[in-house]
Amino acid sequence: MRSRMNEIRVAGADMEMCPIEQDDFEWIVCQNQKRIYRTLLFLVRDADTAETLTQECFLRAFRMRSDFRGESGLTTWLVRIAINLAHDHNRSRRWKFWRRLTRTDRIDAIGAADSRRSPEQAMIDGESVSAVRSTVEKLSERQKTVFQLRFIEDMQLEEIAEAMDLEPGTVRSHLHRAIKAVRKACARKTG
Amino acid sequence: MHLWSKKMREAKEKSLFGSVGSADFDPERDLEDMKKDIQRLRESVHAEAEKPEFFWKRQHNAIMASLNKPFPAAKCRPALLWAPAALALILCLLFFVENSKAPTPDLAAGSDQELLIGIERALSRDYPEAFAPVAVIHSAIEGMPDKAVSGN
Repeated sequence: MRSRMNEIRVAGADMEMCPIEQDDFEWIVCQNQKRIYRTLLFLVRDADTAETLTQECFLRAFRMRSDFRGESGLTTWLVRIAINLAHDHNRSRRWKFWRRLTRTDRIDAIGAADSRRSPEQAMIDGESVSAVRSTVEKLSERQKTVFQLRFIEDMQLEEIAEAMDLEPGTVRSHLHRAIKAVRKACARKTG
Repeated sequence: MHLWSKKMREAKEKSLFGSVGSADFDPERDLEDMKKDIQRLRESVHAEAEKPEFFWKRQHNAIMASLNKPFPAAKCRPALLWAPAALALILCLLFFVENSKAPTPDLAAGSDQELLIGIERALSRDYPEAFAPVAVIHSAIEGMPDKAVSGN
């Protein structure tokens, strides 16, 4: 199965079509489920929804596997599906209302679980993380996604452009605006 | 004085936000000051998404189980979505067509109405309908002496 996945990866590099077989999917799920879940969790801010959408993401990828042409990496392709799912979900007004209600509580809870730091440090770190995260939360959907893929998932700008179906210049512009907003929030916090 | 303060403000903004708006702007060039905050956010997000092994196993199994299921529902979903809409449209059209039709005269109802009106008129008259011309002449004759008196 590994060699088969190498074939898929090589096909991605060579821009050749290499359809994904059903048997490959088990390995694909194993390799990518954590990343997809994390991406979705950051975008939808709800563990249950992230879990459901992770399953939906792989199901959709499986159904659309014949569309995968290997023009982008397999992970980038999955991230793209996940982003679309998250955006569709966030567009739903029904969920927006509840997210708005619960957002403040969740932001306050960030960092509380990390027991490696001292309570003082954790509090300071928690505040700074909260400030950055609440700023990121307020960004537009695209800016937020670009920021997340770049800094949380360590993706390159070209990969982000592929995952979001945008021009690299547009990605750079969104990232610039996101950084500007976060910097402003950080400056306000320290100043 | 005004120009000086404007320049000062621009310099201040530049130091705060970096070189905004330049074409060759590298969004990550001036990130040194924010690196720590972003790194903490990254750690926090990764820690938040960290789950025990059984969680991933359960999710993996659920995904694999859903992949093995046939999915005819997805194929007939558009048809199912359009069917009630089409039905509603047809019902609406039928309703409008039914309402827009010109009202056909109900002959039976019309004849009943006429008969009732005829009876009412007959009851309100002091004379039978056949004597109507005579009644007109009679009323004319009765009115004449008054006219003659008034004429004199």
